[in-house]
Amino acid sequence: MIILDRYIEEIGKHLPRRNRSDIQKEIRSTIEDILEDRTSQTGIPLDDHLVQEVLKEYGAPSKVAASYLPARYLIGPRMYPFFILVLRIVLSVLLTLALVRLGFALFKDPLSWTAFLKILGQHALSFLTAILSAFGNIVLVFAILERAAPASRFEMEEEKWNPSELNSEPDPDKVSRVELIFEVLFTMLGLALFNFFPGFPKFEWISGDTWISIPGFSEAFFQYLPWINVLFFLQLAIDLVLIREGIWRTVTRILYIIIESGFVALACVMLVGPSLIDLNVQHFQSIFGESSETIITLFSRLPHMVLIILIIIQSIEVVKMIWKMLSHSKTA
Amino acid sequence: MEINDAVQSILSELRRGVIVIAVLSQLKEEQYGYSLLKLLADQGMDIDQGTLYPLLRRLESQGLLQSNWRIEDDSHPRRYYVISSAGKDAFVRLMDEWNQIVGTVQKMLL
Repeated sequence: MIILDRYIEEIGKHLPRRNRSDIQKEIRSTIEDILEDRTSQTGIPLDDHLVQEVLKEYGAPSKVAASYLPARYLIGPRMYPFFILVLRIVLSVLLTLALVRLGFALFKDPLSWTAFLKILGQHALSFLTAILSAFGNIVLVFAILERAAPASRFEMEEEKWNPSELNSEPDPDKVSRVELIFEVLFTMLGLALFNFFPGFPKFEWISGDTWISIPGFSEAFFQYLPWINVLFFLQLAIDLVLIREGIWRTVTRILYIIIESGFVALACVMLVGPSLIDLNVQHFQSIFGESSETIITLFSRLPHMVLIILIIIQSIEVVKMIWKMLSHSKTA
Repeated sequence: MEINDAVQSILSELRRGVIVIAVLSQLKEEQYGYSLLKLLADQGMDIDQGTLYPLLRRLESQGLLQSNWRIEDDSHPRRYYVISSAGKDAFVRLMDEWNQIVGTVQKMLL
């Protein structure tokens, strides 16, 4: 019965490794029972024709295998509302950015119809690429979250839910999953941009006959990249643990403080180090003439301003976390 | 056509819940999959193989059934299922619930 062996083998291809041989053995046993029953009832000898007839009734291998598998989701019903929320926000931001960029490109100089349509087409294509890429990345993040925070955990929390909680003070140890999902999303976006698009945020366009270029990151920035990557990966790991656990524990608070302090320390080192953006002074002078000095100063100070804001925000986060940890230990 | 599909879908949901009670009721004595399928069919409950075998595995993983592989009467290996003690307790509760549902719905239909 080579055909039966092949059928069982084909079913196995659609089954998880863990239960595969056991399910295959059971299906073989059942089909052999059916064949025995048919031959004894009809008196027809066992041959390939009868086997094929029984296999046809039993069903296509993929369908038979599917009946043994639980429903599988890339993004399950629990995560889906968050997924839609994040998708709407990110797509709205992308649309706004695309419209602003298009506005700059269209209204800077008088345009011919051909140039107008060309710019419109280029920006539409660029927007399409951006939304496809954003959609793919968001799906990837949520697919990871789906596996990191199984639906059963949400169900357990729903069972424990009590309407009296609506009147009580919010639990200080409860994790805000939506915030963390955004953090995971933007951390992954940051990792992807810094590592796979080193030209980011360099932005170039032509205005009349002039080639205008907004500077990207300098080589000095990329020397810090391994440290940024380490901190981002640690951030991702702690975020996934928190999404899974749903609650702050002393260990996760300490780890969070260490990681955030790491960000503050790195930002301080970057602040006193060489310039993080690749400023082409001659390029700016050729475009903006006398006013180039102001623009160069603005661009050279921009990373410092961003870093100072980051240091302040992260330091506040660290202090808040230490405060919560200490006040929790007092009340516990 | 759409109403027909909806009725079919409701009927299959209705049967799905009842199948567990039917299966547990017939496993006071050991049965292998195909013999159980025939036993149920003989009593008027035709169940698709694709429904029964995964259900048996699920009930076993929930601790309601026990199983073992055996070869009897020079035949091929077969997996024999029987209700476990937890399954017997569950069956009593399911029967109580079933009787209540039948009584309530019958009152509603009068």
